[in-house]
Amino acid sequence: MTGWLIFFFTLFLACLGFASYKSYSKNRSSDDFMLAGSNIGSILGFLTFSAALFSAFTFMGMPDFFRVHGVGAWIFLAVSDALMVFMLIWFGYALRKKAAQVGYKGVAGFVQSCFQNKWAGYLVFISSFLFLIPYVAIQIRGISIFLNAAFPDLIPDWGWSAVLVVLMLVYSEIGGLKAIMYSDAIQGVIMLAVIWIIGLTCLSMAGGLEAGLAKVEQSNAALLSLPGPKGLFSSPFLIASAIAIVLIPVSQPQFTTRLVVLKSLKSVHKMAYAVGIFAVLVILPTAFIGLYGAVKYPDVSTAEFLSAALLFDQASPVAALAVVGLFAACLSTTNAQIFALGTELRSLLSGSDKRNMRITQLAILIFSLIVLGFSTIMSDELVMLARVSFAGTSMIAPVVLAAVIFKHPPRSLLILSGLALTYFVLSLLELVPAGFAGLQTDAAMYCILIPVSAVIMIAHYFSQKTTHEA
Amino acid sequence: MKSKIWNLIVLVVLILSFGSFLFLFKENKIDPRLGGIPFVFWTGLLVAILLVVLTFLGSRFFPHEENKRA
Repeated sequence: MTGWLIFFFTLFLACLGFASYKSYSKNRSSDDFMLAGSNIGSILGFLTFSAALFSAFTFMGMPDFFRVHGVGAWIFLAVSDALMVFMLIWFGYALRKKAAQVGYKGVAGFVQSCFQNKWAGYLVFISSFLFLIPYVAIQIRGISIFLNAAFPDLIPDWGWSAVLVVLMLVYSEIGGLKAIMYSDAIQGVIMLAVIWIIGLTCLSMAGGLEAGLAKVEQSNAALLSLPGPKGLFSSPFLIASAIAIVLIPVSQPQFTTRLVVLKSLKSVHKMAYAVGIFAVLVILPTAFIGLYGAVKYPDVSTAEFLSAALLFDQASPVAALAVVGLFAACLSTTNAQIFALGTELRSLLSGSDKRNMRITQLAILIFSLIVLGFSTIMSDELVMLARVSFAGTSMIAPVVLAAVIFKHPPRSLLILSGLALTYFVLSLLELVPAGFAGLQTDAAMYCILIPVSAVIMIAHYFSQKTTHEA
Repeated sequence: MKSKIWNLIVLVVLILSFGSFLFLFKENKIDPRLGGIPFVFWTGLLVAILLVVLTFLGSRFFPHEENKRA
């Protein structure tokens, strides 16, 4: 396998090098560097959005989720993603319309301009920082678990993480957002191809779909229905997950920015359904891998299952491609998020373009080092940690939505979202009760956040209307 | 006309979403199966595909256009 691995890695690194070279321009402005000149077409847009969305968490977390919690994993991610892409049709339009009016350098700066309040920008930045750092660390943790299981004596866990972070820094600092988008496109194609090859191989090794499902039913029938053997996929969990995932483009800046930098609304709309198709295509084979895992590796650890199913049970070229595909998946999501943090910081800065760009590049380096440190202390629960990140950032969604909808958004939403975010963080730190009324924290928070935000927005809409009429 | 079709698509998405999460995705329900595939999986697959098709239709019938950006 080593020969194949060297071959595919060399090819992948050459593609990355070429992408950085093509994206590099000596006299670029910070807008060219951070927002790719805001002139991205629908194909590159769809690939970069999909690659940022589907990552190590999909590639590794979802097969394990299917294996451990059963078929409800499909509803948890695929149905929620399909709802999210529908939301993009309207949100992409409303966001771009407002961004054209007030300007856009990042979500934090955009919200700050709309609310005419610096705390609005800080709130968005804090939320991104708090929840993207662990999310990025999950990706790095995921790939290091896998590579360490695959090559136990080569280098330690943190060594793999460091290689990934250094590689990401080098090419993103050279090529900016455009290089990241090109690498996303490469990764998207690799990921889809690899996951289908592995998925079909696993399906065949499980004896086909029907026979595999029959074996699963014999060993653990609870995997074939909701809420799954551990009771995870209850209705409140699935609904809260769907809300958190639908709000990803609103509250996770790496996606919001991608909607703005596309060259036209038509591109956004094409991208939306293309991402939906990609979601179905990429999640389906993870179910096959999970099914195979449930039949053959029902009781082993996550790392053992993944290294066996993705690597040792595959033919050498496929296994080598899986390593490169996983590495690429992890890299593209990681750099999208770290870069988004840089973009958010830049959008809050005032001063000369050159100075802001220098500060942003330095900040990206610092964020990367924080992530590297964080990745060494993460747990192996990839999907659950990703979900916490989605839910955490969604607490500021009312602020972003109001900024997009209203000319003068209601400031009371800043207090509401600030309180929701604070409670969510405190509940994670176990300083306040995690959840109430029999619901988990996020589901319980949505029960308050959504109706209260709706009431504030409706009241604001009518009060504005009355003011204008008067 | 475009606006009416868009509103209809939004209505269908809302009914499909609420209907699925409240009535379709029921606990401990394996049957009826489709080609050996348990109920939750095939209905979930169907709902996801329908939502993507509705997204495609939504993109065709979205009533607003954006002004050319400066």
